[in-house]
Amino acid sequence: MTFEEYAEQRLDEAVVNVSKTFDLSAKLKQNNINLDNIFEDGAKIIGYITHINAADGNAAQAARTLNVSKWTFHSKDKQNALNDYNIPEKFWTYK
Amino acid sequence: MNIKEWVDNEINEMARRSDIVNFDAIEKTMKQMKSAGIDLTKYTLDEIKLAFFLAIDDTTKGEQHQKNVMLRWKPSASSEPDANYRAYRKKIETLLDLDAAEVRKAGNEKLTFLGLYNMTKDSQEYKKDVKKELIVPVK
Repeated sequence: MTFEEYAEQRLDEAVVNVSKTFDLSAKLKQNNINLDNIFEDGAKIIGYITHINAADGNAAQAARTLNVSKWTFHSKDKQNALNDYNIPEKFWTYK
Repeated sequence: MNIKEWVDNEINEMARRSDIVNFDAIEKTMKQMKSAGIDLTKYTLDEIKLAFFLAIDDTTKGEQHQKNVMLRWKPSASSEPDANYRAYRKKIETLLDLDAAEVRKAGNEKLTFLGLYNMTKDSQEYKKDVKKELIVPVK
């Protein structure tokens, strides 16, 4: 499988709710949320932290609600997004 | 490359880019969102990324708008379809078009990125624009 094929497959699974997306963007602007020094990686990390906390450390549940691969939070050999971004433990309840 | 290998590559890319991650800024933003009652648990990662990008794009001013937006976004090098301003804008414009024309008509607000991606990929004009205006200021 080439990267492009994988990307297409992955993107096909990525369902975006248009209204929700624009609504969130509007809320960020209306509340003057400071997005300086966040970048794309920061946006992803905020998503990871929010969902793993909401799932109380349940990797499968967080991956499902965030709509990401199950390996994103996979605990085996600690090769997962939380560890590889070096996210400090104070931000997450991942077990 | 199987999916697991691709995910491993993606994770390695995260590690490579971890030096641009600012946890103080992340904590500050999360506190602000909590105070404002913004709950991200209702959104998927793609929705969060697009919404953040849109907010940055809408609030960034200046003559070199695209360059300024990309400096505040720094897209992941591994995310090829997302790796430049034009690609993001095209996705959003497509979302807007479909939202107005077809999605509402169909009574369904859910779209797949594959559909969006294919639409942009198939457009010769878009390919030309991307080549001309490619902006990938990653490091």
